[in-house]
Amino acid sequence: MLAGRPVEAFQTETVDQTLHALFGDVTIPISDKIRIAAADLAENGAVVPIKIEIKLDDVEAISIIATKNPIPLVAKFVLGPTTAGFVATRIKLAASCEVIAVVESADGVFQARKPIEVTIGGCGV
Amino acid sequence: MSNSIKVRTSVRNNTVTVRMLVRHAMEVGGVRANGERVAAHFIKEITCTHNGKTVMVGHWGAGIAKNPYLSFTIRDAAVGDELRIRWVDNQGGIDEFATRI
Repeated sequence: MLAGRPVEAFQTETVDQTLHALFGDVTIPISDKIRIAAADLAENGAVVPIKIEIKLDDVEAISIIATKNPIPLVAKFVLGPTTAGFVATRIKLAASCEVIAVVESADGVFQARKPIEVTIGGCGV
Repeated sequence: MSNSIKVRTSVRNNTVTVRMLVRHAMEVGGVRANGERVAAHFIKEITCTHNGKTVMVGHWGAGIAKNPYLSFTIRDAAVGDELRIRWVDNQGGIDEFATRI
């Protein structure tokens, strides 16, 4: 069945710790098959629409990480075999930062990054 | 049964796009500027089943925006299929919504 909550990763406070808790000591390659669709400038950090579109085969999980949030891990979506490599949601960003999408797939683990400028930080994220 | 979950679906070529809105504070918790203490209150897990099979589990923190929006797509789906959404928050709150595509 689909994996459980990454409890430890939700307790980490830096991106390096978060990535380590989720994936261990590996370097995650950047893939151009992952696209993070979001505005370059977010006026209100409390509500930032974001869409992750993935062209890798058999996407198993999508983790969304915001580098400047007090708790960088925003969400981890675990997908079943019939669920497509796509998720759209709205996240909070404490400050201008990079949003990282890490995708676990049949082809391996890959990431994409997108810088987002935030005018007003999402209050106390 | 549910009044916090609103779901819309659209089917094209046996693929269903699910869009949902959930009413929830998604409160990160802490001390407000006026000194008031606020407890963390956020959905930590949201699950979607399609004809009884789990197709998506979202493990969330308080970094998901207030009144969460979520969209995803499921292949091998048809009009009439059952879709069930269930969330659990960090204070033990639960809500569930079932619908037909």
